Amino acid sequence: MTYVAPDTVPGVLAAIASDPEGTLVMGGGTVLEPMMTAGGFARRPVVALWRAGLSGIDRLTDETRFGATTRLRDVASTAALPSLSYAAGLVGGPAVRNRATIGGNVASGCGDLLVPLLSLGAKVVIAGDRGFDECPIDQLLDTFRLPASPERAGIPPDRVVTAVVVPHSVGRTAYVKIARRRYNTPTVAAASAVATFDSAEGGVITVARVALRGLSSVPSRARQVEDFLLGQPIVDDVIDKAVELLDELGGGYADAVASAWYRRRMAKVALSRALSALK
Amino acid sequence: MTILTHLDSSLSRHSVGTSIERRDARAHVTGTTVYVDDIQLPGMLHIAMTRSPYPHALIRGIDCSGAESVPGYVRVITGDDVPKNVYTVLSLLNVGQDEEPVLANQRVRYVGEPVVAVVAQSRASAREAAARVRVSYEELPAVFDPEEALAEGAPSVTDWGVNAFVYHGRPYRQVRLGDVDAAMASADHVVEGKYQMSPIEHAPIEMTGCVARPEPDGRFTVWSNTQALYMSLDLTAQILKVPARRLHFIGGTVGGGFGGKVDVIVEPIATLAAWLTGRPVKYVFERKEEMTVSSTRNGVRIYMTDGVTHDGRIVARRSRTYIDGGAYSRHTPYAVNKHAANLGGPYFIPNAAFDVYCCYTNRQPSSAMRGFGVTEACFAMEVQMDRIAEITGIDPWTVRFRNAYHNGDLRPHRKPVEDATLIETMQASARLVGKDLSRECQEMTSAPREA
Amino acid sequence: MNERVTLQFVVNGVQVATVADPVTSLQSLLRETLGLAGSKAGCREGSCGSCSVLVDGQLELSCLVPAAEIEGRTVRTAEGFTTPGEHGLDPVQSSFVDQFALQCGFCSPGMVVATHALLADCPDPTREEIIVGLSGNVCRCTGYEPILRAVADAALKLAHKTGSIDPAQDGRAPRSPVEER
Repeated sequence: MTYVAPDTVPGVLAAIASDPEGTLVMGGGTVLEPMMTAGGFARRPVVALWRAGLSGIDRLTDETRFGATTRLRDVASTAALPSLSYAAGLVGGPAVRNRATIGGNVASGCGDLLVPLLSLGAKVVIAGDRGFDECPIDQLLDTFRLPASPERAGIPPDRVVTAVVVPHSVGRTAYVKIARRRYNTPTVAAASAVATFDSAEGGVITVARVALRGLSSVPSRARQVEDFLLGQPIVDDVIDKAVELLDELGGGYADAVASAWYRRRMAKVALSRALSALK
Repeated sequence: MTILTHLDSSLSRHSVGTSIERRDARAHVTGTTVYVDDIQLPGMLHIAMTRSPYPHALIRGIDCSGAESVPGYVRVITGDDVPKNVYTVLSLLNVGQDEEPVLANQRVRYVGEPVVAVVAQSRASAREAAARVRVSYEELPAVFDPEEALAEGAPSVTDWGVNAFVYHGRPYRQVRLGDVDAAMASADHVVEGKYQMSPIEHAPIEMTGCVARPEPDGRFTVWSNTQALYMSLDLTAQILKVPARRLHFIGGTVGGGFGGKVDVIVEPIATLAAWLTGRPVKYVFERKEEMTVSSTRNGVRIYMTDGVTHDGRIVARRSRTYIDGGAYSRHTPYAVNKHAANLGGPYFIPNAAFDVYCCYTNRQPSSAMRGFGVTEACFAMEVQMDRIAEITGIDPWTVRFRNAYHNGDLRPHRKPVEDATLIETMQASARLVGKDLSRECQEMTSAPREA
Repeated sequence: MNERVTLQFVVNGVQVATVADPVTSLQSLLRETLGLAGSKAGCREGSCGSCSVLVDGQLELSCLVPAAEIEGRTVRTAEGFTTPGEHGLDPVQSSFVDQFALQCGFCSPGMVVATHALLADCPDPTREEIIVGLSGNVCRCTGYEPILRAVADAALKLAHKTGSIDPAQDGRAPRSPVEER
């Protein structure tokens, strides 16, 4: 077995290339390190990203680019993207946030940050032999195979996420996480919404993006809700009707944290609160 | 004056009435307290357990050959290696049937039941070897609800034909006083309730575990975080068929128990492993085992029916309780006793009929936790009291005062009440929270009722 | 067999050299190789906080840190806040004792470390800031109220003692704000 921490991206890709299917790519290690501790003897090769120069935040005019190994602690203090930073601040506890990375959260296929990132229209930058590709996150989640596994779900095995690019929203944003405890707690359901309005004092919604987690373990856009919101003001009875649309979607998934029944209900609560926060 | 007497009076002169630093606080905050998993002994081996993946199955074969080739592997222990492969913690008190194996070798009755103990030089190699033990199972139908377990045609979890612990020939613990049927018929109101409590995992931050070391003189020293040191010693002696004097158990440092560390689950097998290998052996649960295998509080379902007069007095209580003991009863028969004895609560119930079942299901065995047996009864009866208040239109405090027992009253399980204080406690509580009690309640005392 | 790497790092002020599997956790290194069991093993998966340590002054869960990342770093464990041979407790430790902020004591070392990390960044924390700062440390015994009191008490003690706050004292560079370029 090997453990390597290459100091360049080409070095990372070369290390993965010797066994793409078997290699584990480690960001902060918050998922993989416990896995290794709990595992038996035989271990899969590990390629660690911490030395490959992938951490750092570039704030440009219209977007912020997060290096894949940027720690959630730093994402949590990014002023330009309040819904994303708020969501990052709710992942684990302070020590976990000192270690967990935005790239790892995205590459897991089931990380909490996927909810605000979906609503913000974010993209991932993926490095491979042919160079760097930018891929919208919803496309990433839709097109690639997604086990809810700690491995690199959604990313082809011979490639690696190097950055997450998040456009700055001109609208209002919101993120709501419903969980059993206030902090250091897994998500039961979450909703993130971004909306632009046709006038500064409210008016009607001209663009809406809504992402949910709770109806399925993989966060997804709630397109029926988005379509319904267009041209509507953000008032209580519009919000109520938008939330009722979730009933038609059914879903909800069960795990040790919550039942599907409970998640379906909490997804509605999360959406209702997220939409209300846009007022 | 002896030295001890001198010290005693010195201490009592200076310490009575003062706040004294806990003896162990300093070690705790400096990270120097030695808990069981902190113990590292030269040559120490580790145990990992191969466990059943099924809730109910027959064991058709055990093949340990895959484990043997793992580097660091030392040996396996199966049920056949255990001198007395029977574990029933209450057998120490002559309560209960011998129903649980230390290591299953014929049948498994819950997911996580231990089948093969693998001993190896490191935790990782023990875990790897345990994963390579191949047990072939024939799955059996399983039951997960305590009432369903008692229904006709339910899968049989026990060996004695009924999925319930048998008390004096009955599959339930019974309490009878007076004539419930007649009293219920004469009541002005009948109040029914169905109450449930889910199983709860204690989740101590420290996992269950022990370290056993063979001594040159043939004894064994065992450091354990058990809450029940003497039970652990005695049960280990029974299982290993050695006199108790060969065991030296050291305990008292427990990282949270709450009842979850009374089942004596790890000491017998660790001590046996130390015996068979001649080396110190550590057996500490992983967090996953602590959450999914170690005992929980019982899940409970209580059907309670009270016959009540128009002025809120209970004249009869009929109650049927199904306690989910899980696959093996452990301390649940004791919970049943406490529950049955406390279903009247601190109230006067002149006519009572309680049936309390310790049911067997194919779930994780449940056992002791924080007032087990009584907590559930309190929950049910206090909600019931509030319902009685609602239905009769009487203030909930007044309902409780009117039903409070007095000294000399006979409780449903026929113990006369002594030192009753509910009335006085409620009066003091009312003062504290600013509740205005009626004159009737203010003047009440716990003194014996006039005949 | 799995490979080994040589590691040199500082633990509680002492230079340490050892050889380890690069993916072995810092927790294992501390507990099994270095005999420092103050980093408790409550879950080994980053959920309970009982293994909390400071690495270069930053709060980390030792069960999540691979050995390979510890080369050249400075580690301080719960045992590292008092001087060997001396009987005194540091202000955070004595606050925990005085406020009865412990019962079984298993979470206490981690709580003490997390408190140091919190007070280094936030010397005068509000109740909510204390809750967030210790939110990664789980306690099953106390219900947390005495712990919150202990942290507030420690904050007062440290403010009086030093005037300024730098209880970590690891020569850590002050954390720069998020690098926004």
